[in-house]
Amino acid sequence: MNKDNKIEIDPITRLEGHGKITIFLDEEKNVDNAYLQVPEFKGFEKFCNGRRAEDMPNITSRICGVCPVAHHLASTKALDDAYGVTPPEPALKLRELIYNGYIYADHLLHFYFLASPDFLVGVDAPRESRNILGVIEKVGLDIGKDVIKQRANGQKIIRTLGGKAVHPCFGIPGGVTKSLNREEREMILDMSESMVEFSKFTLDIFKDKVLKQYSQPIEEDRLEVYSMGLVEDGKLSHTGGEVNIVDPTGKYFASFSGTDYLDVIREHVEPWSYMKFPYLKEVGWKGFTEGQDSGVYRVGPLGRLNASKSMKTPIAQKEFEEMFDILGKPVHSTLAYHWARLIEVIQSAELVKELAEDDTLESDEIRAETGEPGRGVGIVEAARGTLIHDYVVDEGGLIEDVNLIVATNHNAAPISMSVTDAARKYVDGGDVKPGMLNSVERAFRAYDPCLACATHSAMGETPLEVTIYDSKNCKYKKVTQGLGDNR
Amino acid sequence: MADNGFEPKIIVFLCNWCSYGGGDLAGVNREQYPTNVLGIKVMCSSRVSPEHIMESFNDGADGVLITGCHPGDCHYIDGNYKTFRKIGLISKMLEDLGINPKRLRLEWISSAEGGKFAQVMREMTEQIRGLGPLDLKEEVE
Amino acid sequence: MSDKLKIGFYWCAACGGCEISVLDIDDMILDVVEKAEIVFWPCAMDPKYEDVEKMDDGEMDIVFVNGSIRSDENHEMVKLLRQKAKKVVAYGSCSSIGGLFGLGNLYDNDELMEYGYNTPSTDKDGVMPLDDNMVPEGDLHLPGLTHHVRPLDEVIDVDVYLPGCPPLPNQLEEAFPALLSGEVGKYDLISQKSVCDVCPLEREEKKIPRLYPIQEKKLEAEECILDQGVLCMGPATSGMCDGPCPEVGHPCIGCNGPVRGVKDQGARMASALGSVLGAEGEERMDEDEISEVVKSVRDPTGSFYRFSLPTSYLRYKRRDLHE
Ligand code: SF4
Ligand code: SF4
Ligand code: SF4
Ligand code: FES
Repeated sequence: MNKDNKIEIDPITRLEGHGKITIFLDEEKNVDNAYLQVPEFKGFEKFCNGRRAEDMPNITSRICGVCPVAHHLASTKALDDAYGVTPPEPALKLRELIYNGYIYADHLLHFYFLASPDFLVGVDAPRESRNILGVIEKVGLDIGKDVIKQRANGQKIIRTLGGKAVHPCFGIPGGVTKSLNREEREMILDMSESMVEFSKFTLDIFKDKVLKQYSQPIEEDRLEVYSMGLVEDGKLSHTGGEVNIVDPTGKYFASFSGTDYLDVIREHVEPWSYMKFPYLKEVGWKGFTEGQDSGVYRVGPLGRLNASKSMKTPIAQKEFEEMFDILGKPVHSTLAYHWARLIEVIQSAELVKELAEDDTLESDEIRAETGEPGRGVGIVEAARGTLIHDYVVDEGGLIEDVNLIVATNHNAAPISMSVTDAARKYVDGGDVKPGMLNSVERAFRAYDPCLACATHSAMGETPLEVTIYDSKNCKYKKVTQGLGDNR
Repeated sequence: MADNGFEPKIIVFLCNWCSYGGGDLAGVNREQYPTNVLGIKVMCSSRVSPEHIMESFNDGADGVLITGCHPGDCHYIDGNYKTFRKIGLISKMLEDLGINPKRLRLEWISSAEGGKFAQVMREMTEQIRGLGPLDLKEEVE
Repeated sequence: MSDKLKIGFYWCAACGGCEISVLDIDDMILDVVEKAEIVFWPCAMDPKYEDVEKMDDGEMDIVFVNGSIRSDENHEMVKLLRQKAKKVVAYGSCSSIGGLFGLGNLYDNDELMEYGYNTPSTDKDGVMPLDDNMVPEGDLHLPGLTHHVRPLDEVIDVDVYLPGCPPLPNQLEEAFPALLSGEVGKYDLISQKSVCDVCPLEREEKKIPRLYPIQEKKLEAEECILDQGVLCMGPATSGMCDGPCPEVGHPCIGCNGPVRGVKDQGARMASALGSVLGAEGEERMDEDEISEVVKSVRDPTGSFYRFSLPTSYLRYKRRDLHE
């Protein structure tokens, strides 16, 4: 192996604990293939067996501490189903409230803390400032404090009902453990006004700072696959309704609820990753390829917007229309995930306001009597995509069988493909252009991948390590998310 | 898989008011029982907490035997009932953790039952001998 | 800049909640960065391993490690951090007491894998993740799992424990200033009080004839949850969280682990429960009836040790039963 061919970009990091990309080059030193590996595994499905059914919401919330509310609710819904119970109206509304508080906080966290440093501070800025503190420097301390406060608002809603912002407890089979008192409801109502304003403000920032400057990648980073998301009467929903799937042209493909997910989705296992790769059963697993004939689909904000006919609330609806007017429907641009995410932020803020106005949230009717246990499926839309919890509960109320398909899993194949795509574009004749990692990373981040979920394990925002091998399988380069070092 | 050379280590908790007396009587009557048992006197069987049991196993005991007054005879009224329930919980926990619950035993022995005392000690020793050593200290890498 | 403390954050096998909890101190994060320079935090900042490797030994003042030890990589990384840091804080329950993933210690790794990759929705083609793989283009390696889930102090020395799943803002408001000023003993941040001691609901230690699943018991809001017959881990759990869960009508699930000075949370809970379980006038109950009462405590192992199995006396499932 010719030593001069080897450009070692020193082990900038070995933080491969949680996500790792390997790129292989062909004879011409162009990208042959790229692999996204998730090297962690915890085994939730198995160790949930034998546990008390009612504990599942609090056990599975630890699959991911970034979106504990989502697992908590998916699990609670699975238990409603397993015990054959429909919670009373106020309980459903309280769940909805806490959920929208979560979507609001989590999407803002992603945009400002994790994604926006690339956009607002810029990928060319020194590494030390490419973080939330850099963002605060850029947008000013006042807005910075607003960001912190607004995210905290969402967390506060969760804390009010669930005791803690991370890993709250509120859901039980047939209802919730707490309703709001007058004071709490008014506090939330009060907050909600500013939440709506702030969500609009955030989308304006996006349009102003991101859309204008990044119109090229928005057009170029495309992936034409199926889209999936929960809809309620055609409207985008996070907590109820049916899962809808549209094909790459936007045409209806299938929908399902409950145990029917097994007729529509299957998971492919690759021996080189702990992450499973779901695909549409009817179309089949054709590998990491796009198009109508490949069973790969995307979930998350963009998947949901593509799969819905409309939003639930007026301001969000206006923005929904605007996005699709500009980009066409369905949208295949990966970076449009950010756009879709911020439209969801608006809907969540509007819903919080709408719900907080309703004084049935003060009702004591928050639990219904449960029936005999059996099998139950709970489906919600986590910030990052569809969660499916499927349990069998035995007579004694202990868990007998568990299957989990989680948000980032659905996106596992698309993320790998976006990464490969970005690598192909930016690695040319063995020359790794400076923009390569930026672009790989950007593609990766757009999905807001939460590999904690995917392996029921690690942390959401993942340090990336990219290793590039030449055609003789010799290590060619190793580069990581510490982008500043590559030039 | 009885190990011939194996001499079990057994911790026996003795209630001061009944089984300790039973042990004394066994001694006076020159009842024979194995020397594998290490007795620890407590004021009531309910003084033996699940932590003592777990700790005994952790520290190298192959078996733990708890003895107390017969139902109704506890000097603290319901101490032995509490003990009984705690042992029930701990047995289940041991089983879940892959440890044979037969390594833990509860017996009611009064101060008049010297013969029973010796017999329980013999039985327990044989039982643990049959189960073989419990080595929790093994370090796995 | 130079007189600031240098601090770092790192996670092993974690859920991410501990990282989020650092953000949940809201504005206080600005106070923290006033006193300390965050030199290493892969979650929120671009990480750089070589920066750590290049550091002098003990160059970082404090490193906060969350997550349990689940792979050799976790192990290796914390060894390096130990070397580079004056003080290592085990942040969160996973790192200080083993944490919820420790429930995996009830099974073998093979059982966990076998089940996880053979669910009703997976392709049953026998494919399972392997440590070493040949793909058409070359070799791909996956790190293996450790034999069982471990807390941080099973692999390196820990200077301060800060349990909590995750640690809450009220804990951090005390912990951060204290840690930054350097005056914290190893166990100072673990409360000697139990959750019951800080719980807004008053416990009377009533006799409990049997336990009920929460969905089968209509709970009175003002009354102690355990007194009403629903399992609450409050008696065996350390109370530095101030009891937010019972405060919103939900039982404590034990996430802080045992109170200071107690090693085995599950045994402590068995003890507390054994003392109150049973009907008044139980002298007349026979052994079968008592066994029934005990059986109403479903899954004591998974419930009592939900967060602390790896630091219990027994730690993981043994093979004493199948020989
Ligand atoms: S202690 Fe809890 S919040 Fe922290 S990483 Fe572990 S499971 Fe997540
Ligand atoms: S509700 Fe739980 S924490 Fe509160 S006093 Fe009762 S047992 Fe203790
Ligand atoms: S009350 Fe219990 S479960 Fe809730 S935070 Fe405190 S220790 Fe954890
Ligand atoms: S005094 Fe003997 S068991 Fe209580």
